[in-house]
Amino acid sequence: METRSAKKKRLLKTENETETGEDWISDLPDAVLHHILFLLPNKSIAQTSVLSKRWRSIWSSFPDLDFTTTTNSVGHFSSTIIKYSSTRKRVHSPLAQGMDFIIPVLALRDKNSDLRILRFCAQLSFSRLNSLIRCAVRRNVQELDIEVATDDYFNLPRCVTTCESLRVFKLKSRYPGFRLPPLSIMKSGFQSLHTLSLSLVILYQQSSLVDLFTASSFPLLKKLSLDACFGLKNLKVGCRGLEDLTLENCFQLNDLNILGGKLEKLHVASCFDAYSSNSLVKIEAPRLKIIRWEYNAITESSCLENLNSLHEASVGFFVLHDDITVAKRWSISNFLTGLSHVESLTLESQCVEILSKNKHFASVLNPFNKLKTLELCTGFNKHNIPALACLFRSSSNLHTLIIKIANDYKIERRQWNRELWDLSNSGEERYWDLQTQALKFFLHNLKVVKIQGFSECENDISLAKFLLKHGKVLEEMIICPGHYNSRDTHRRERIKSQMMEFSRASSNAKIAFQ
Amino acid sequence: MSSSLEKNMLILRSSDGEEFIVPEVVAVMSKAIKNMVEDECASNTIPVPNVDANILAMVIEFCKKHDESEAEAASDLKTFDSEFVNRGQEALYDLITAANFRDVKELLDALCQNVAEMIKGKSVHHIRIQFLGYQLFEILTSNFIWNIWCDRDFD
Repeated sequence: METRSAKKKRLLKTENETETGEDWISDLPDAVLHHILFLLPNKSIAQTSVLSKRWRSIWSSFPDLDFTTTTNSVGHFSSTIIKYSSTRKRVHSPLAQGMDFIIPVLALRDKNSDLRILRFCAQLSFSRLNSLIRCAVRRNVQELDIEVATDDYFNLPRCVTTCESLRVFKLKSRYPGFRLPPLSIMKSGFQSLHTLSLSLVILYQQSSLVDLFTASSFPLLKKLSLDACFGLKNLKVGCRGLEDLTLENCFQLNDLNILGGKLEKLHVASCFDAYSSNSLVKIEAPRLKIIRWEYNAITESSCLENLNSLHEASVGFFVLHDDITVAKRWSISNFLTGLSHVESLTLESQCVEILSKNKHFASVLNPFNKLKTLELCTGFNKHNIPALACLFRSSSNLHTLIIKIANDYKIERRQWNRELWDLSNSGEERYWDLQTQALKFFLHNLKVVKIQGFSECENDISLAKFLLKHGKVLEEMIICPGHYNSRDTHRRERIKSQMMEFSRASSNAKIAFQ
Repeated sequence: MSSSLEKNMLILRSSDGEEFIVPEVVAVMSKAIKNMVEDECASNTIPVPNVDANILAMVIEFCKKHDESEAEAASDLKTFDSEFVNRGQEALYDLITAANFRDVKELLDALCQNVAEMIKGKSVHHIRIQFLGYQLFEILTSNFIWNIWCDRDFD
């Protein structure tokens, strides 16, 4: 092989009698050259246009224009916005230069070649944004990814909704936001859209999006993301093909209704109006695999139905007051009941806290029969212990238990000391020992325990001691110590060695300190 | 497929008449060949015009490696790719045309990546001399300065 190519090279050289190579790159087909250029940063691509006439035409028909690699970094961007919004005057910024780059590039393009991707991040006037979008739509753009800051609120250009080639549409306003066209226009448009992502939408005039994402509109939509929709109160999502839904920072949301036959992933964060007295959430998604529920205000009622394929769930709430109304307590227990088919569950610390402060849950918590992995984030104070015991009781088939302890220094936790060790039965230990019968199934299945943020106080050690003493099939206990000051090293070592001597129900249980 | 060949083997014939016996799974990494096989318009020997034996052997080597190591670590494959595409310019040209014409996506990706690496960060003069076969004096005497930032208005 080597010899052949070497021979060919020699022959070529003698034929041409030149030292430099032939212009082999320019002979490649357009599609291949576009492929090569696609792998370069936009600025280098533009530079190649001056190489020769051939390269100029390659550049002017290049379909993937990504100006985010040439314009400024996001850090630059946000600092400019602050300057911009405070002075309300056009400041000469790198951003403005970025715009000066985009417009001539589009103007110089080959009029007959289509655009595939247009992606930019800029600060510009609405009329300029509008003409950029119109220009892209005229060239049958397939992916439009825009991040802008404008002088004033603007309306989403209507030409986008009717664009037939558009597959991906992402519009993010940094400042001050944009409005949607009338719903009747939105509904009939976007016929070939796969992905829709909108950020900072002003919806005070149309606070109810109940009949926008219906089964008939958005026929091909797979991925939907709504972020910072101000004024959005009612949302109903029922698109037939939707697989992935993200909803973030909709603080006024009151009524959420999701009906997704193909929905697999749901992420809702920082949504719902905490002061509302009739908020509600209803989810029905038989194929849902992953649900992430973070920092959401507790709704007055919740109804999760048919979540039979659920694999992974993570639940956290935003709590305004410590005392939670009866309706909200029922809402939380309905929510958790809806998750009863889950295999891997994470409860954030606010959620564990709610369970701890309301005795009500001990009696109504549904069993999680399929649960294999449970992760709990908690401050692990004395009042949390009954809630933990209650959770353990409902997860009788658990395989892996992960406890993440966040140490709150304001609350004094009782230190483990020599005397307690000698007395052998502290209050916490006695409490756990009394639970042995109720936790029989749990203790017969638990194999792996991981405690993060472990400190040398009574609660932590008595739990570890209890699990070691009664965990019949325990294989591994991993202990990752939390923050400590170096003075304690000696004490820590002593407790470590004490822990190694705790009695174990399972002969092959290992303890590992990390 | 009524020859004495083992099952799932195909014969590829290069433009200069050399024949290669390859497993079908390897051959169908080329979309063009895959289409021929699926449409059953392929007899036991598939001609591969415009690709000589030398280049065809390289393409087959690449495809075999990728077929075998599907389960292997991706990093191993990456180093193999970068070594594989590190070749002289005319071999590169032939490989790219072969990969493009026969539609072998993985190979085309790796090759284009390599060319992009070669171009990346180089000045216009450098590219002209190294790849486009310009002579130094041509560059010195040319007035090729074409300003992309011309003041044409948008639309």
